[in-house]
Amino acid sequence: MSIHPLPRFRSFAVLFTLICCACAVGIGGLVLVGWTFDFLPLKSVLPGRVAMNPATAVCFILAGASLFILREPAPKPGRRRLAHVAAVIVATVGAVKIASYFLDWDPGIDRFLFRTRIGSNEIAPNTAVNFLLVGLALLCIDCRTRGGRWPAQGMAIFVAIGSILSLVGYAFGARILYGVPAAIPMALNTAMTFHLLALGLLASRPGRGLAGLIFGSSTGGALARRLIPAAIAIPALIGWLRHAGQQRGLFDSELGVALMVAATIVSLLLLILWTAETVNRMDGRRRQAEASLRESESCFRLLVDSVQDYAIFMLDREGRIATWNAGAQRIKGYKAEEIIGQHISRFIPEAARPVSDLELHRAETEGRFEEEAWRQRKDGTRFWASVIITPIRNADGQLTGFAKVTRDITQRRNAEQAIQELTQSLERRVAERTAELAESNRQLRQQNEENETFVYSVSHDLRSPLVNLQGFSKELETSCQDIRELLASDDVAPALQRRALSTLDDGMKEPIRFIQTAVTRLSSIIDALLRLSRAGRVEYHPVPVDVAAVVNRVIDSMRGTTTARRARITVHELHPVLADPTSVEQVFANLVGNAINYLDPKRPGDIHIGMEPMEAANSSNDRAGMVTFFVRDNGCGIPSAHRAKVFRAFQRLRPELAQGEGMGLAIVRRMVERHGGRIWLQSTESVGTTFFFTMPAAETGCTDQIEGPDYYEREEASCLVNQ
Amino acid sequence: MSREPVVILLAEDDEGHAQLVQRNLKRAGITNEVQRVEDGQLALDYVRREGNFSDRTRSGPLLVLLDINMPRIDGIEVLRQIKADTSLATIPVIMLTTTDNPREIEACYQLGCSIYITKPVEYEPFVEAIKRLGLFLQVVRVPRENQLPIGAAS
Repeated sequence: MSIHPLPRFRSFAVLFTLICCACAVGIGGLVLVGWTFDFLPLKSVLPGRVAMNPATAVCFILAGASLFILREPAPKPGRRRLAHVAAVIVATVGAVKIASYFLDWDPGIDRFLFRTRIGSNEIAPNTAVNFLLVGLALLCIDCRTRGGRWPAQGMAIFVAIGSILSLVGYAFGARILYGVPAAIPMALNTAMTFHLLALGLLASRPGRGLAGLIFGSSTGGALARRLIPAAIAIPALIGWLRHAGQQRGLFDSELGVALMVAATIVSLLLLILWTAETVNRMDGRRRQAEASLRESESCFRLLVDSVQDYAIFMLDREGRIATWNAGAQRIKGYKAEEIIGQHISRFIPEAARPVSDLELHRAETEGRFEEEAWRQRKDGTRFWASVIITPIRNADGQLTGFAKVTRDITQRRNAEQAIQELTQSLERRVAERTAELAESNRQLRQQNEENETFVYSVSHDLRSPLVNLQGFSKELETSCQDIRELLASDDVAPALQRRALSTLDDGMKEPIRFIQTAVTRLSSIIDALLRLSRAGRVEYHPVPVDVAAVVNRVIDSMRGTTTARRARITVHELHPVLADPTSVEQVFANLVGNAINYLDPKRPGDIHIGMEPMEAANSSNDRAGMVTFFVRDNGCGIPSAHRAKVFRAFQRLRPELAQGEGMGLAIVRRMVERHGGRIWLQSTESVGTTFFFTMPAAETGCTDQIEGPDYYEREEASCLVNQ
Repeated sequence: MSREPVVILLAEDDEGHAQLVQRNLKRAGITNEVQRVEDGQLALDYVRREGNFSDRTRSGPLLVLLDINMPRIDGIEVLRQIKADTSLATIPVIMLTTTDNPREIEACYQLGCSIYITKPVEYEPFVEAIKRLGLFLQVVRVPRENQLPIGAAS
């Protein structure tokens, strides 16, 4: 198990390891320098103390270097090999020296360097043991037993302990350490360096084992961090006090011991009391945290449990159900005890099973999995579900399980489907209706065409005999002329000549003339009927029409007649209408033409074209939304008897004033009524006449749109004006 | 090609109209032979030298004056068949009829008639039209019949 060290110790540990390595290498180096130049202080730090063996120095350098490389948990393979080689050398030196103590074999490994000056300096037995341990520890720094322990740490601790005695002894100047020639004691610097190496080894893996404990965030670590300094300082202090006291002669050895024991007991008791209180406090805090956590957990659980509409539950890493709530029971049908421990693939209908594992995998990799799909209840029925799976990770970022929320949206789906079906059927119906309309349109158009063709063929059939009538009446005329010429010759008797000529004139020429006039009349009637029929049938495409522009055009085209009759036309403001442009033009042309033609020759003509003020659009009056135009003249007027018949076909009031068949107003009325308007008149004999008509108003801001061929290029135009 | 006189084929069912046309052509100074047929079938027979006219040997420039409303085969069909037949398509065809239905006029021009003349009821314009036709015939070059590939489609 690896405990995570508190972050603030991590950088300290790294630094500390570095320092230890540096010191080991440095001290070793300095000693070697001292041996090279025979400089005693470097060799043994304190005067009179034992000097560090050069082999020891070399080993320290190697060990320091090796630890430097191995301080990172994953060094490059090449460097790691170097580190291992160094460790092996160090261990070998130690092993050989130990062997030399037990066996008779002494290769003199510690006398190899500086042979001449070495003298009797050799590696102490405890040093040798320590080196063996250090080397082995470096080699197995990352090895771990099945019990979860780290042998390297144990070895490092042993090394540290092994050097403590030397250090303390040096501190208190224990004679025993000097006086034993058989066991050359560890030099001071050796002891220190071993200590540093051991601590460095421990610090290099601050997350493991003992180091982990000390550096960790647990209560034990906190305690250890506080107690370890005390454990070192208090005995050292007491010992030093006793030593100093005895040295000064304050008390003798027996009292000194007694004092020391007493002081130790008291300190330990105080320490224990302090520890107990600290632990209590920390424990208390922990229990409080636990309690509030439990409380919030139970609140949360209550919340989740009480939700009926959503199934909210937890899964473990493999997808087995860990918790359950009321909503889950309601939606899926399983009780908690039945389902906990089962795999969630249970909920997926048989057919879709193979892909169920994909959910968890995708939730894990993408951070969230959401879909709408079929799920299965306990009783086998299916429902449409909205499923959301989110992964749960611990503080390390590792996956510990999943949270799943399922919602039964069968109803919603049904509603959506119903809407879709409705929309589709609506669209279908619209399409059908459109097809129907298109069909009926087509039929109407066809009908129209047939009517048109009928009218044309009828008019053609009607005209055909007329051609004959007219043609042959001309032939008669020509023959008459021929006879006349014949009669004019000298062969003919004058009496015969006279009588024959008179017969020709009265009996032939007059009748022929009447025939011709009648034929001409018949022809124009047919034409007019054709036009009337067309006026009733032609399709109108209403567009916004700029009436002012139309009227101006009409007036322009009549300029000749207007000037001839000395008439003046005044155009007032005119509102645009929504109508067939050609019809508008024809209506105005006809009305204005009439106005000109029926002027009173006794006075100059004064014609006004304008419109009445518009009614409000929302008025209930039937003129609402329509524009009322007028064409006023000061002509002959129409006698009251005739007013009713004015708009009828074939009505001509004053045939002598103008040509035409009397069709114009009938056509005009047909056109106006087809636009939904009305036409009427006011007139006073010998004063004047005003024609009114209404047409649907257009939105303001339209543009002049007269589509289609220019009115006056069409044959009808001139005929209509002459009506 | 020598200036042989053009033969005018007049297809017109109404006796009166036919007479009027012929009289006025004469008056306009057109002395070309006018061959009259009363309906469309006879017109086609003539140009193809089939049926009643299978023994026709005359082969000079030919011009067709066509009325539209005729029994059996109407003018438009005659026009179509003439223009569809490569051996006959170069014969100028002039539609002379009373109807002024723009659709029909358009159709005739689409089929390839050379001119469409509406017979007006007013006599003067009618005579004028015929006179002009005459002038037209005097100046226009009408291909000879025997220059056309022999053997019309049957």
